[in-house]
Amino acid sequence: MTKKYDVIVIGAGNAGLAAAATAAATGMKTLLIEKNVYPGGCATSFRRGRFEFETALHELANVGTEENPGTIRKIFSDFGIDVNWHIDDTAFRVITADYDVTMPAGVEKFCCEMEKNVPGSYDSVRAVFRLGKKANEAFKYLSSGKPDPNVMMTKHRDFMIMASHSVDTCLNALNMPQRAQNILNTYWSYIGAPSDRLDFLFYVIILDRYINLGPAMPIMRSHEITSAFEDSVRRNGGEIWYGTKVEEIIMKDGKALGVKIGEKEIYGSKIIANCHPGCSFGSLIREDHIPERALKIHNARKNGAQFFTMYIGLCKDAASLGINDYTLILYDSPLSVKQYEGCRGLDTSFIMVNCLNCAFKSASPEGTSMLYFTSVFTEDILKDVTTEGYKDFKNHVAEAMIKRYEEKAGISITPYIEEIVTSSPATFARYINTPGGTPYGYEVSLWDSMIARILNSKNERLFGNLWFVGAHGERTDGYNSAISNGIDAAKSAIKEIKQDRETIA
Amino acid sequence: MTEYEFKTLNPMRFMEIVQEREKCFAEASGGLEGNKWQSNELAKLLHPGDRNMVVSKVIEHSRDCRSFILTMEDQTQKPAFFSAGQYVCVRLDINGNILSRPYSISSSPKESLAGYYRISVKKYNQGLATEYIYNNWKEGSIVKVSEPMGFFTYEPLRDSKNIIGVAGGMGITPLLSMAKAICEGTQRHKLTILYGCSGEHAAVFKDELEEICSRTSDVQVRYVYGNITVDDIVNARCSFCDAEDVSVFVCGPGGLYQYIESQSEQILDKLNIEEYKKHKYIRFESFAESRKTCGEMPEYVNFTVKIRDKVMNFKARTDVTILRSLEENAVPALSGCRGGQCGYCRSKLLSGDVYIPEKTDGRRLADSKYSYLHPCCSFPITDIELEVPSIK
Ligand SMILES: Cc1cc2nc3c(=O)[nH]c(=O)nc-3n(C[C@H](O)[C@H](O)[C@H](O)COP(=O)(O)OP(=O)(O)OC[C@H]3O[C@@H](n4cnc5c(N)ncnc54)[C@H](O)[C@@H]3O)c2cc1C
Ligand code: FES
Repeated sequence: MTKKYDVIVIGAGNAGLAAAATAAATGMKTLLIEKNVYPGGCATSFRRGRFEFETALHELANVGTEENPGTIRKIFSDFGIDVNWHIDDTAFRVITADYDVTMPAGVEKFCCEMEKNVPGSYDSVRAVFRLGKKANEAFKYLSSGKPDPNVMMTKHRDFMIMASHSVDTCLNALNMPQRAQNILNTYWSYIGAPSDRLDFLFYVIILDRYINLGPAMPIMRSHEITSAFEDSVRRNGGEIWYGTKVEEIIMKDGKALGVKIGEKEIYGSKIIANCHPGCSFGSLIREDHIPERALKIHNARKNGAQFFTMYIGLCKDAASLGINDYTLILYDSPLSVKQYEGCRGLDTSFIMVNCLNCAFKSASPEGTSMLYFTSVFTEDILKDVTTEGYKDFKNHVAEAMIKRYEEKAGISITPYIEEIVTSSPATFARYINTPGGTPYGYEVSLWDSMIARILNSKNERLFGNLWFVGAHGERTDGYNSAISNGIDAAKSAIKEIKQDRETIA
Repeated sequence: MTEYEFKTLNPMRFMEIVQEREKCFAEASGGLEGNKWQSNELAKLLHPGDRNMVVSKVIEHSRDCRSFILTMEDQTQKPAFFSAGQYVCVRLDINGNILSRPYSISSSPKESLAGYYRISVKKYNQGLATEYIYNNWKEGSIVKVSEPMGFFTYEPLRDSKNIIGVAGGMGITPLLSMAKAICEGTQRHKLTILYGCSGEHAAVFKDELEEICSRTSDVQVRYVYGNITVDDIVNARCSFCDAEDVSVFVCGPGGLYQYIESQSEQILDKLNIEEYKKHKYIRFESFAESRKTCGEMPEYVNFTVKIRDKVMNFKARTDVTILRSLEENAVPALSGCRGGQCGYCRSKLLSGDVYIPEKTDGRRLADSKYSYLHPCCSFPITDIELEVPSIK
């Protein structure tokens, strides 16, 4: 044995960083290994010319203000992490064939704006937020330790209803007018599952987090969050090795013992893997070390959505181009179920367009602005693309996105493009090495909802000393989820380490 | 009561969901299906990382300019496809010093499908790397070469369809690749190249360029013996007399870069480009290494370098980049562009002070906040302690 760590974390994505920060802060001898030369995985930024582009974040939920902090702000302050936030007061603008509405943040404002757009909707929308509050309370109870099924059924009955039924079923039961449902469901694409297949519980939790405290973004892009996490790992004595690829997780009798880097073996009591199981089985973990059930769970799940993103630097400022919204979502169909179907094809998927300069002007140099486009696909959009045809294909997708944006938003940007970079699913696959390059782990569904995953997490951990964390984990995709998932795993690892030490003592 | 009907929904349905979940898992295949996504396949083919290539031919253009044809050592593999204008880094192991140098690919993207890249290397007096290459790279030599990198490429959604390529000396290489791509029909735009060199004897790619021009009217070349001037650029505009706009691609040594920068107002004016579109229409690739321009300094400082769990100590000069000192002291440090832009060399300054020329400071905001720097364009001012990422 060359060296022994308490906790080895493979991958410095949001979940890996949070896990390493948790372990290091608890005094565990921690090693964080990352194949790229920077932290964050897909949550980062990159420079091109005069611009620094955000690669992934649309907005973070649950940050809140210093006076009224949300969970994320509290977690970060526990880690001594200092991030400069912008909290926006607009939730989103959404344009569909049927409507063009801009919704404010803040529950009361949101409900009133909905009433203006859909008369008679106020009560039902208000009820959703009431349920959201209950959901978050019950969720805390659930996360706090061993939940008692009796308490769940009696005290948290509404919670159980929400966990049992789809968004559609619940909103219909609340007698919400269809148009209000459609507007309320706008965030479905953040989760990647349509409203007939998504449990109401998860949706309500997400919705409440976004609307209640307002959407937040770090001033220095995601790289500020991940750098701050990294700094916290270092301050607490953790080591970080960049440019280092783990080639194998050393396993014996169903338990992880360490990792291999080239010829070198590094041992650790507990391993937390931020890499996707689908890209680890058969490579990082040899086939004979994988329990059949782990493969069954992986195979039963649908892969998360694929992303096409585009980053544009414009040589004119946002206001003079007529760009006024931080978040603009262009859905063809207002119905999530229909729009989800459309995500199979290039011309029928939706487009999300973010302009950071609308949140804070100084995001790029005076007289310039940045746009960040996202389109999501549920089928292998690159399946017939060759290496020679790849760049033309990317340009074709990019051009189509720009054209649709220009038409639907009535804004001309083409003459002002100073920098343009397109990321395809292959780009994501390159940086984060997930199946199909998905940043969304496994698709959420009623049977495989966040709550079902959390309640089964103990008996679905099938490797000793080893935890898989990230968008593919119990809490599903998103920054908030990945961070919490990493913290959960680290806490569980620390607990085991302490138990092991007591046994030895 | 809004929630009346909601409350009638069955909370026990969750138990059925749990059973359904078990059923889904039970019915699924228990085999290792492997990854069947084309996205992952493309990522591997386009970004294979460093690989061994064979020098399969050496072409001597002149006393101080040679081209090397590089093919794959492993014949079952292909060189990664690239965009004309990109470069590869050659990784050299010179008596234990790991050096990396970027060279634009001077062959066309289509030729990579036929199995090779060509790079063209000018010899520098006392150039550590070029001296080594000239002495050691023979037909049959095995050399380590990175995947293609860089952004000095034609982007149809950004650039004009009419491009003036301004090449200083070896700066012709990426533009030559673009000219070939146009000739082969894989890139669709017009290109007028100003090929600046010291004299006709130095215009080593003249024959090749003439050949391209004879095949396509979309490429034109004008030879400038001596320094390229604003007038040369403005005159080149005449090749596209009815075009609405033009893009200017500049590639070459530091002097050319500085000249164009200093004359940019005039150039924009005469080309009829609005000032605010300067960065859209004038694009650079600098072959020059970052130079130090700040005041009095001790000649040498102490370096402490951490790389994974290894620590190294040495003395290094203050008038060369930190990256150069790392390489000369056998630290296997990563690098790409060597111009502050790609971020491959990103390293953490644990203590000490450095000087970073503003022009080449391509760091991200949070990198500055957390004391990260790009060694390829940073100079030590005091003793420094640095943590560098490892070559995989
Ligand atoms: C993206 C890119 C693409 C390139 N493509 C090509 C190409 O296609 N063909 C080609 O011939 N070259 C190309 N170059 C340039 C080439 O990489 C280098 O000029 C060459 O490798 C010099 O390496 P060397 O080790 O022989 O000389 P070095 O040891 O690097 O030293 C020589 C060079 O470094 C400079 N130098 C030396 N000392 C210092 C100092 N203290 N401070 C600052 N500068 C110093 C010299 O002026 C000279 O330019 C490219 C460069 C870049 C960045
Ligand atoms: S090598 Fe590209 S930034 Fe230093």
